[in-house]
Amino acid sequence: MRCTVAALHQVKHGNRDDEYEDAFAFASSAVQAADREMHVAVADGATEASFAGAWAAMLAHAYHRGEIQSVAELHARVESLAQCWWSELRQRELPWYAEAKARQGAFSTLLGLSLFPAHPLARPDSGPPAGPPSGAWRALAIGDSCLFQVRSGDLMLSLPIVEARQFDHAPRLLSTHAAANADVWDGVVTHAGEWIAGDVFILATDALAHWLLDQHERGHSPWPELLRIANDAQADNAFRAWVAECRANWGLRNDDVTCVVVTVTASADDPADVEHCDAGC
Amino acid sequence: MSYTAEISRVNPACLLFLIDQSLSMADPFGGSGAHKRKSEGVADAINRLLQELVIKCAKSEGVRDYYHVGVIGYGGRVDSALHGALNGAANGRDLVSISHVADHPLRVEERIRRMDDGAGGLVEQTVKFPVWFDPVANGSTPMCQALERAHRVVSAWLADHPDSFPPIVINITDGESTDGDPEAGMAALKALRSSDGDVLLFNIHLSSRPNAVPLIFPDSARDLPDHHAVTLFNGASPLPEFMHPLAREYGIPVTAQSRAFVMNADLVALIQALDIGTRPANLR
Repeated sequence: MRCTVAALHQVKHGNRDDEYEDAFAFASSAVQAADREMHVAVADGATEASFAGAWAAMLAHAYHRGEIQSVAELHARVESLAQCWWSELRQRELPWYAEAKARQGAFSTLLGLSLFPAHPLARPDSGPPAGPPSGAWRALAIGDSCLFQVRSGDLMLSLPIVEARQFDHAPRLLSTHAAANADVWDGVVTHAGEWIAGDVFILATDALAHWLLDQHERGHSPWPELLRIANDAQADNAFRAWVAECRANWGLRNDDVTCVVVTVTASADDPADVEHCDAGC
Repeated sequence: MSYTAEISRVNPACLLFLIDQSLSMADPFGGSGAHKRKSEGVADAINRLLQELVIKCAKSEGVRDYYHVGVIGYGGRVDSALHGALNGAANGRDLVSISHVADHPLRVEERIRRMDDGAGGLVEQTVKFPVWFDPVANGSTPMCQALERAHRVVSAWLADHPDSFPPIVINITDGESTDGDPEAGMAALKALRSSDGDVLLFNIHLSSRPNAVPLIFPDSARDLPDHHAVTLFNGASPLPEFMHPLAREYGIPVTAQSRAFVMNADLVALIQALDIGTRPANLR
């Protein structure tokens, strides 16, 4: 398995760049080694909460480190991260309003995707392997940041939200308050599936996720344009211009926009390629 | 659809308080609140509302100016009730940004509270409580003049912000106007509008009647204790639809005929109805 990863983001119009409250985490090198699993995450800190960006980053990085592979691990990790968050806060001298706001806690979504190396390929008695390289993937989601699996330009799956009308302004989120998380665990969505070489996985926070799903439902496939931007040599500039255009003319809601595009390609180390080369020589 | 405009720093909203500071406000509340003076209730209400509003706008780096706030007192005279430092920041316009309000309370009191430690336990910590207003009760009740002043302030705001979320005016009074029937002034205020909808007028009535039970967003005047309350009920805006779900979350029954009228009850829910962004379902 080899993956290329492009992370694109744009702060809410009217906010400064340092006020961006989404978070994302993935391997620093864009290309993933064939024999290693990969963990990618995005998280969206709630606008009305304080220090939410920091909380979102803590959650995203924990997933990226492979520390959250089940609901039970999520539960344990959130508790320990929340204690760190509160501990850091108590050491700070804050104005009365920041102190009062912090007491309300921080809230964030979390969307994590884990990709696992290719399965050993089936070997017919002669000829090339039965199909393209494939492997397993797993995802975990709480809130309205969404995962899309796109194959040959078609949407195969979206989670945890499957219809654009399901987006609302009151998603369930992970909190730094243990009491506020009492009912959250039942709302965590997990899913396992199969990737094949060429699949594209898109992790997006809610404003963009809502827009992508809405466009798809209207029959205006947004995937080719998004993939073109992700592969652009000036991807950041292209994304900034595209987001501005979509906000101005195509109904994209003004909010922080985050998008991580993971493309799974065949690797020179994949057995399929090696076999094919040997067969052709 | 009305009342859907984004509230942000590039498109802030206006919140204007009119507070009755007349001598009759020195009288106690009626009903179960009989131990407390109405002027104390006003000061408490304003302080709590401003505190909630500042906290709502507070972020890690400071307070974001989602709102511009004004307070007009009416009693011995009709004038901005913002104290010195805030009045200077208002620059004669009767409105000041919420960040200035945050940074300039009259004083900050300290109290001990028990706080969540993130693991289900509690830890004691000193917390700060800001105060912007102390009780005032002096003079008559020139409510009509106050409503005219409010009309000028809101009109000026709308001239500069024609597409803003509709201004919200909150009139806190015991309702005994001494300069005429306030009905026309309230109607003129409600007739103002932005491109996103009509100005909202909330009337918060503090009654001394012994039979004055707490009422929030009633849909008829039948349980009101006197004609002052009825005037304020009729003068209040219809409660906008976007506030209905939040009211129900707080256990307040509302109907299509509910009015933006409150009598002798908590006002914090009012501020929490304003939408400035994603509010997590489990944030209380």
